[in-house]
Amino acid sequence: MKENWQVVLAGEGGQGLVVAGILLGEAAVMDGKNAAQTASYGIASRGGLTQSEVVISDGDIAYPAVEDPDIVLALSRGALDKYYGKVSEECIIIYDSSLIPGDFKGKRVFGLPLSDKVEGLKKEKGLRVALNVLSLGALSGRTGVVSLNALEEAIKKQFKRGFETNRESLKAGFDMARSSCYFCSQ
Amino acid sequence: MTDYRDYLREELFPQMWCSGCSHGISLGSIARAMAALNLERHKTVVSTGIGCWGKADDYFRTHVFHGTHGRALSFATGIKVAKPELTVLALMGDGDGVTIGGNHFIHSARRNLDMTAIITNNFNYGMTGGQYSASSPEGSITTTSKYGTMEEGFDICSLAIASGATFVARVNPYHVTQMDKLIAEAIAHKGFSVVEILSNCPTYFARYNQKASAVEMMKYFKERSLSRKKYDALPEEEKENYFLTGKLHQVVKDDFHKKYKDLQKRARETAEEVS
Amino acid sequence: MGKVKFLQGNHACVEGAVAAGARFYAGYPITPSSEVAQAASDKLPPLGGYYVQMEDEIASMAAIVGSSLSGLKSFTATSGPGLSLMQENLGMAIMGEVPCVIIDVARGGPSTGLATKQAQGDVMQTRWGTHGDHTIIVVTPASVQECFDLTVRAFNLSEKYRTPVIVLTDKTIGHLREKVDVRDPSEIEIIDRKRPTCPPGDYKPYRADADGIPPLAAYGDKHLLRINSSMHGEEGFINQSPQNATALSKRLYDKIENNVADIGRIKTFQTEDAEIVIISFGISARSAFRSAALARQAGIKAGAIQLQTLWPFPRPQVQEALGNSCRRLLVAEMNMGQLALEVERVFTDMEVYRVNKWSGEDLLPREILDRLKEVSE
Repeated sequence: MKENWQVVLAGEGGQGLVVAGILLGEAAVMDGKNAAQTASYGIASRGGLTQSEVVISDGDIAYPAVEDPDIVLALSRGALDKYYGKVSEECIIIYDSSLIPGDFKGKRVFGLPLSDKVEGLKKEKGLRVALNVLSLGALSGRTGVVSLNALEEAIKKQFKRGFETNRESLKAGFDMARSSCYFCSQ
Repeated sequence: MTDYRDYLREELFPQMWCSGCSHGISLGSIARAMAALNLERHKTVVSTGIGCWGKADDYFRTHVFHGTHGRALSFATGIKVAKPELTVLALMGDGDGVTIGGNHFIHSARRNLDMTAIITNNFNYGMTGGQYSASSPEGSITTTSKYGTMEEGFDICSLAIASGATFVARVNPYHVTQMDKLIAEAIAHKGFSVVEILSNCPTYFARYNQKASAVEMMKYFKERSLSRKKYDALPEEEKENYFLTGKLHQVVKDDFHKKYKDLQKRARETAEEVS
Repeated sequence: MGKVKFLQGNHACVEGAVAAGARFYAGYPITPSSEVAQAASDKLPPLGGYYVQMEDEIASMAAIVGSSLSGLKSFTATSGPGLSLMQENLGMAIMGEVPCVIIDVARGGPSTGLATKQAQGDVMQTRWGTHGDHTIIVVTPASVQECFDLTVRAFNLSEKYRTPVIVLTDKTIGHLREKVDVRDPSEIEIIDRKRPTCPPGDYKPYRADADGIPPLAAYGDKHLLRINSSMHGEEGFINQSPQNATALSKRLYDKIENNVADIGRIKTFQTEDAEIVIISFGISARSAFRSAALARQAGIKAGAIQLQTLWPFPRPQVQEALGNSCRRLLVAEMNMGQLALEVERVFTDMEVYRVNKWSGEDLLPREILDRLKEVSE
């Protein structure tokens, strides 16, 4: 298992990526690791390229921002373009294939229909599912960078209400990614 | 009753102000109000700014604060919020109070913190050599308005009322009994109170404008100060030649601390719920 | 027992302030420091403390001076433009000897400059922003844990030396979230100001003890307090005599500058055998430590020093940390060279190089590494 993960969560403003980064960092701390989260976004709170970075480590974190990403979650075309083909081949890229059509090749590039799943759950169960939480589940399922349990705990702490819905979203994302899990296939 | 001299450092007299200046009368009046209310000296804080009246803190045998120009109310805000049991007075001139400190003045009034602003208004900056201030009436001759000012001056009491002060009075140095009484009433009032003291600057403003001696200035204040009833009866065009004096405004309202205690209680309950 | 939390630097500053005993905050919101105000408004009222939102930074600084004199440990937070407005009453706090803490979360300037972006351009503003001869204490955290620890320390130094202390962070640290041990007050050293022990009638608010620091009464005490921002004598009355002006300014200066051994603090990385040492502070120090590690891999004997105390410049501590083999220094900072001026002034026997960035982005480890390689050729 890697000791040091540099994770980028990228997409558009309003997708809840900053909160996702906080949840990911919080979960890593609950897993007993060190974590550092930074965010960069434009002057407005909605729209535009937004990115949240999380460094997770078993040891001390010297530099707290991402230098060379190990994991990228891309939730918009712009976000994927920023990283696809520009990071090391070892970097895992998970992108939302329902939002970003096209054929993106790479041994660690995975397209998952995250938004379709969100819409499906809304129709099927009438749940107010959030893309950011579902995507975190997928990230955990695909990479194992944090445990599902820790993510659940982090969500419980962050959101006073709607825990059950968020738990289900998380699990749905996790299960979806699990079918082609990076670690499971190692 | 306590002797008003207990609140003063008479060993430092004579006062530093010019002969004929009305600040000494105002100083005595504040001390008499303190005595009338039997204020404990160590529970009383006098905060001053910069200017002739900013030197007034020297003469008080209470806690004092002498700080930067225009900020007496801001320092006083911290002093009073942190220790509500204190009686806090901010002594300011028209420069301190409504010119450089105008922003602090309106916001202090809005906050309705239980303290008293005493503004001696002599219509100019005396200490720096008689320049015009935000309270100099249009047309005033000062050392920076040889040709007469073209800006209108603030009506300090109207400004205070519009900003939310809950006690507002205007007094003059001739009617000292009224001054004593209204300053005491202002201090006793629960909430933000303002007393404007019309003041004469015999060295600059009075010399350039009324062209009157200190004694003539006293007569001037005596004759030109009117109660609400008499003032309202004046023809409109006459009003600018007179001063409306007396208690102009008082409303009963919860002060800052009363509301803040409620806020702290709500915050405690929420914090307990969360944990 | 303390609690392990995952917090923003701005929040950790408030946790530190509360742990140090602060119960009063007055401020005016400004990016990127506003989370300090938000957290203070949340944390202080349930503890019986006060959050007051003032009309501007001038009034904010004045209010914390006033509340501190009423006996509550007090703080405010701002960014460069707000600190400019606070300079007037920061000088008042220095002259009047009023303990209080100012958290400055730096952003790009001058003026409204790069309001939402990163910079370390307040090095000299914190040191020389207010007019007249004076000295000041500035501490500089480089992590969220240090935001907590150094805010506690800022209060301690402020209380001990009866002087305002600035905690200088930056946009990145303010918004960075990391694991932080929010220590319980029982686990940390907390210093409270010296109070008068003489009978009330004998008390003089500016009569210093042998250590150069006068005990401080509070408004409401029987010891009457006469606080004065003008040049004053021991009793607090204005005294403009040349002898008094000379002596008082000297005492205010000496009480801090003569205690650099106590006030100064640094953190070192591989300095013992280093031939070149990076000197930095704040988030840039994190890059510096990382780049020193990378440089070693590339065969360059590099070390790094993080200044946890920026002012007064921790000269003895830095001097001690530099080994005999060190001949070159590299000052890394996100401005056009401010700290470098001080390093050049102090270390005249060394070659001093600079690496600077003022684009609104963080200075990256590889950028410092490139400069290390360049000057090592």
